[in-house]
Amino acid sequence: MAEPPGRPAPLIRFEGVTKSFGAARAVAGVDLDIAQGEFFCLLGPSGCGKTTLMRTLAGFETPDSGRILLDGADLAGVPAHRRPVNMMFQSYALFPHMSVEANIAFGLRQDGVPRAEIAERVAAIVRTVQIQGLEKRRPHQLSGGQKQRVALARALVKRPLVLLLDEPLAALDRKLREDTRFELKELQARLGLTFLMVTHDQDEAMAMADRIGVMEKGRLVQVGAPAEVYETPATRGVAAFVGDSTLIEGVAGAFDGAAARLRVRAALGASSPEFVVAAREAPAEGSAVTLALRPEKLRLWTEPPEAGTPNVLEAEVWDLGYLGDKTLVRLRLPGGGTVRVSRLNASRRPEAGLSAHQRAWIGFDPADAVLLTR
Amino acid sequence: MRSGAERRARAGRALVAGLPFAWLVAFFLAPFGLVAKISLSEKANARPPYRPAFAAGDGPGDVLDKLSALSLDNYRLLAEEPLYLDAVLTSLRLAATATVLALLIAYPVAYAMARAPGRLRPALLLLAMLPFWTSFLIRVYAWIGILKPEGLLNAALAWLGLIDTPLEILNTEWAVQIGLVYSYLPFMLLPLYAALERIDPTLLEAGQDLGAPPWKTFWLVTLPLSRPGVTAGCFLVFIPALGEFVIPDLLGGSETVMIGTVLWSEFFGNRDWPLASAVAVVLLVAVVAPMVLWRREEARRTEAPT
Amino acid sequence: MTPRLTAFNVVSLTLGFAFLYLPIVLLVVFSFNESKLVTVWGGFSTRWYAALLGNGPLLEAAWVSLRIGVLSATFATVLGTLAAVALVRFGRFAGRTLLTGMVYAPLVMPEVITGLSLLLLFVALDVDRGFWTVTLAHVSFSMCFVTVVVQSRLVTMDRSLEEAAMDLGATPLATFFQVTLPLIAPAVAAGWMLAFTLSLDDLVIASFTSGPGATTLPMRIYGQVRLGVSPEINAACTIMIGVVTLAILAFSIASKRGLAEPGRAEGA
Repeated sequence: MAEPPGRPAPLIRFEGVTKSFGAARAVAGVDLDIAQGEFFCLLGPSGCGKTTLMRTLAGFETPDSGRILLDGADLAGVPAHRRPVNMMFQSYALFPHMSVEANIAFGLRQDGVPRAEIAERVAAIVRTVQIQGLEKRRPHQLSGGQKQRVALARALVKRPLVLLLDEPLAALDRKLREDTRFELKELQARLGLTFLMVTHDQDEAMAMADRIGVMEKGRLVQVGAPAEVYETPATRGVAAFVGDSTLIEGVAGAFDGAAARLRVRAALGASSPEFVVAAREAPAEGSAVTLALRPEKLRLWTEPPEAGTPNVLEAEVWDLGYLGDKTLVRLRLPGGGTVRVSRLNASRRPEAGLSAHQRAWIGFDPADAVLLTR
Repeated sequence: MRSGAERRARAGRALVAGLPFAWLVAFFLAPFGLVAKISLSEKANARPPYRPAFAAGDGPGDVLDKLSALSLDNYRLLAEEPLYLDAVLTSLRLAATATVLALLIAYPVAYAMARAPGRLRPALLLLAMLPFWTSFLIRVYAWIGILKPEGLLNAALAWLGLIDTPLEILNTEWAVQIGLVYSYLPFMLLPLYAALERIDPTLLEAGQDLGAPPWKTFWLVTLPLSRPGVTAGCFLVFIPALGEFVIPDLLGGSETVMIGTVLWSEFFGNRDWPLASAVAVVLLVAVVAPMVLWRREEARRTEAPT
Repeated sequence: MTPRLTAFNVVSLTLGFAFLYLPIVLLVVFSFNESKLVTVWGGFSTRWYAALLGNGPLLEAAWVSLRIGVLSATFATVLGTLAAVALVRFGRFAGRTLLTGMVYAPLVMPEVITGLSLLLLFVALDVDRGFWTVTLAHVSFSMCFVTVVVQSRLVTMDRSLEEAAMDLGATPLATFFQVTLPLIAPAVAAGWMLAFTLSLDDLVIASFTSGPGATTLPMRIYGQVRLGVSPEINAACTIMIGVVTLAILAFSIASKRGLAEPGRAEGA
């Protein structure tokens, strides 16, 4: 990959990193650059290799092949305790036999920092993460949120080049989790630090990250800004994992280059309707393609729409899932198959006009369907 | 290319694993080789009391001569002399009976311990473990005072009017059997308790909820789930009981001879080190078989998904 | 349905523990017997305890056993803990299977075999038998018990605590002493106690590996027991039982407190 001109050298560079455990391939040839000051998030289902990839950077796993560069220096052979990165563990891993203060000071003590400076830096970081008054407590006397802050302080006090966060919010309850997201994001921006986070929670990744790397079976399948990953998923896997999608299999048909429109013959059970979708270039005619349809981008009519509306299908409302802010409608297509449509409950009469087993029509704009060839 | 830190870490790990490893090879494994070798030697009135004795200054010729002097005579003697075969059979019988009796006594106790209210359990566990920490010799010794003709058991039975003449228990096989069961009971009790305590009580509720009466729930759920404890307990009793010396020596009579006592008397009484070594090899073979079985059972259990 | 003891359970517990404790209780009771006859109660007396004080060989043997116990337990704890760390933390390494086997075999190995084989080793090496050979023999078999105790604690310890320490810049050695050791300390202490009592209790291995001038307490007691039951031995046994019981009670209370407030090891 050529270096784009004018872009600074990356802080972290993974080059062809591969790691297997026995016969199982956890990480398969990952190339990735992360810039200084970036909030990067590795996203994927459990077992996709994201944690293993992060642990190769921390020094807890040795890659079978490939290189990891940190600030231009190869990390091969550098043991975990010599790497200028610090990690916030999913379990927080606070030392139960030490006070909060001793936990935070632990890393500085290892580096032989003078006592006075340790006290100063610990006091400063305690203020930063707002845990004043807890210094003398033991970890088992802290709430989940407090533990999380202590773990954060302990990792940050060493001023690492990169802060690694392993599912940092997984152990918190929902309300606290959402508040903490913004706090972490704000802290990262304020300190100008590079954060590498691992999560399986796509909301978390979307809300916090500058860029997301989606992993699937050990491979990094897509890297991009949250909106990019959501609106133009690169693979079926990404479309299914990031956000909600209805995937429809089909076969590529004729391509209209001038309008950048592709005809796709879909396979929906017994029926095979033809759709028109936006496409920049044409896949080979007759090759298998997949359409990914986001529930919020599908339209739903209770009366037949006017003639000439593209990509319309008749369906039967199967059930309604009221979620408060929106309602998820599941519809059955005549040939079989299900489509999910979400409708925003912008007024206080949720789905007044919709009931199960009624006839309905769904449709989508050619530009709103994502064409997937991988 | 490896950094200094990585080399140091490797050296450190080698030291951590290597130190106990070397110690056990030198003081546990290697001596078995010596036992095997001396079991092929011949008794001698010398220091050490066996022939041939290899010495550091031996030339290749000496070594060859001495090697050819090794023989299976001791084993032949063990096979031909009924005393030794009897000792082996007695040991097997007593150890097996002790295992079964210990299981029958310990199971209800362990079961009751596991069912006891949570706040009582640590105290019960402590009670079960204390004898384990108390001197083995003392616990065997305590039975002498109970079992001897003018001992406490006979005194109690006579006082109750159950017997007129004292029972001869001490210096019989009965006393050895009682001693074995008593001494090794904690080894059965603790693994059984550990296994029974781990059983999720909701499983028993599920069993009863699905219509099984309590005894059937016990038979179909509790017993199979406690199997690891049963096997561990049985091996922990059977293997050491097989080679027991103190119990038959103190509680048994001259006719109750176990392998351990034979080894001891050949060694200390007759100063026949080669024969004692041959007995040790026989005993080793007898205990290694159940040990290997047990390890295999353990490995199978820990590998199987639970 | 909370667990409730049935009548059968209560009877099992009562009979089971009566069987376990009655012989010991009788032994203790009769150590306070005025009469020399073990079965006849001749009134309460502590004369046998006084007699113990005058039994020079027994006291000397106790002193030998105590020294061997402390020394061998300490060495065994170090070696046993190292073996446990290797088995739990090092993953696969050459010799792992052999090490596992050598750790588990001594747990059930008949003592006559261990004793004989070590004696033959000492003879072959032409070492004078005595205090040190017994100590060495005790280290060899009790370290395996330490390993098992420490191992069971290590496997339940959260691995990420050690990773966190290394991540924060602690060398493997610093990690062990500042994080791992304080957290497994109760198990290490229990292992030491177990090794100590095993050494104090051992008759067979000591008989094989000892030499002139190094008679241990069990060897001395055994010698006297063969001559018959005596109230004096009862008194000696009662003291040993008392010491062990107190130590175990103290330890279990201390470790329970340690559980409530984990790791008191960290200095203020």
